[in-house]
Amino acid sequence: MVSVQPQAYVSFSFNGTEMRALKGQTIAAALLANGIRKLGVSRKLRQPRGIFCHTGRCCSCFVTVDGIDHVLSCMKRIEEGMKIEPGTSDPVVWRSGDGD
Amino acid sequence: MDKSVIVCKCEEVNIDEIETALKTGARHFDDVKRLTRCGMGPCQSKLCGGLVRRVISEYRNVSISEVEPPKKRMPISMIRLKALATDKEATKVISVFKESVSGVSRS
Amino acid sequence: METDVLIVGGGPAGLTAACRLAEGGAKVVLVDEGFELGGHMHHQSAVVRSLPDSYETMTGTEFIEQLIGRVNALEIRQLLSHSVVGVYQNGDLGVTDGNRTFPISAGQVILATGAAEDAALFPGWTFPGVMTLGAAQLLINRERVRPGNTALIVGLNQFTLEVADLFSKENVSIAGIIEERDRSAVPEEWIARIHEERIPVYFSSRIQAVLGNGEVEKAIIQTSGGEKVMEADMICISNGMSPITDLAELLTCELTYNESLGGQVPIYNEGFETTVPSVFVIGNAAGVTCAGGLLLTAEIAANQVLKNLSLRTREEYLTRNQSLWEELRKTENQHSGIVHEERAGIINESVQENAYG
Repeated sequence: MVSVQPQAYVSFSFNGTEMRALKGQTIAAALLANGIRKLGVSRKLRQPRGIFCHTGRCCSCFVTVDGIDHVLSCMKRIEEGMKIEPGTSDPVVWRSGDGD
Repeated sequence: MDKSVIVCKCEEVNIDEIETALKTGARHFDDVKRLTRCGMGPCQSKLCGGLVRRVISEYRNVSISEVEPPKKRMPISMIRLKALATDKEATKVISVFKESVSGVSRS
Repeated sequence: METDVLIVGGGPAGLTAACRLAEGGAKVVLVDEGFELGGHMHHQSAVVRSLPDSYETMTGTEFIEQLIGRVNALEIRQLLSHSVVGVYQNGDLGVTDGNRTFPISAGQVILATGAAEDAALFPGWTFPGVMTLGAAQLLINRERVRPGNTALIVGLNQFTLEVADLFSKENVSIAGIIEERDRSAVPEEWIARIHEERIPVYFSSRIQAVLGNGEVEKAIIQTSGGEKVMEADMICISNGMSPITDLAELLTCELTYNESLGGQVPIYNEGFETTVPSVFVIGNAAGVTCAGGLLLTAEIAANQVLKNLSLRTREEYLTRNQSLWEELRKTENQHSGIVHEERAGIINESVQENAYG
């Protein structure tokens, strides 16, 4: 049934720390299996956020994957060599010269 | 309940802010939304829809069925602008961003 | 992309409709947001209650695996990890794979978008470690991860009992179940089952605060006997489900509010066709129901769609529609008579509207 394979592992990093997960796990589950429950912070009050619905709807589990921000970590499988960083902010969209 | 409890998790709008909007005359979800950004974050009220309507119904002392749900707008699931805009052939972005879909015809 | 039928959602209802339609000769495209088919039922390790008589006893996982086998053997175009993002002015649906967006033109559209678990409001509900009970179930059954060591569950209902069994098998201890309602409002059968498992239930209680350093470590609950501090690294919300109607709303289908069916539901007729012609709604999206019920709604809509596509005669359609409704009535009455009554009410509503509109 399950797509997660109990004997096959993939390596990835979170915030620069090397970690290992079962092949087929979502990024969110892979991080949870490594004890990471805080996946990022909210955009305004910068409060911690983690897995809530794990169905791609609540948008609480954003992380940055290989430089791409706002990836729903519950809807994407972990892959060998992925560099994961916490979802910490909205991207900066202003340019110098634009003023405040 | 403590009025500082967050109801809309994306835009971080709390009970107090929703009730303040209601005090100034808001009646339905979309009124609160225009005043507070409640339900306008990445999840587009998928998560807080029911919670906000409950707060409104309790404050107004009406049944939840009398509180209109927020109007759904495109895009209904998260999409990167690049994915919406790059394929000129297939993606008529203008229709995706149209304010109203009343013109949709399925005949 | 062009097709006879576009089905949105690859859970039990969407898959059942896809099989029936492809077997009946229709060209079918099936879209699902997830990277695998099966929806929520795919991760149910418990035996599915309320399957129609023609099925043997099996777990959700076994049932879905069988259904996926049938779908894979048929010529059905599967678009996994694809989401519907909008509707074009000509009525085509805009679908994305995350890299590009393209229109799908379909004569008939079936919405099988399922239901979503409701959140619950309490101080600290946004903390990491607070999740829906369905998320905890999925993490264990599909992802092979223990979501926590000690859980507090908010809400006592049928689903709570099911996942409580799973937790005890996986050595996730349950510190307690917090139930807002008074003890008298909860069926004795549920209370008895929870007592058997030696799980404490706190009635007329709610969570007052969640404590911890950036994630759940403790919770303060307010009970009828005063405040109580409880150690738990996970709080699971079991607060019922609501039909997912985003796409139905975008397609301008009319909705009605019905508490027994889970809240906002599209109005439909005897073929589960919404107020927008050739747009159908099935499964939990047409009102939260039992497993058997949602499969039958899919059968009923598929029957109607095959008739619309001239792949089934009017006589065949009528006979089949009648027997399927009979079976749906039987199945839903066993599970919850109220759900079926309310469903029949929605149909009367739409019939009246068609008659006068």
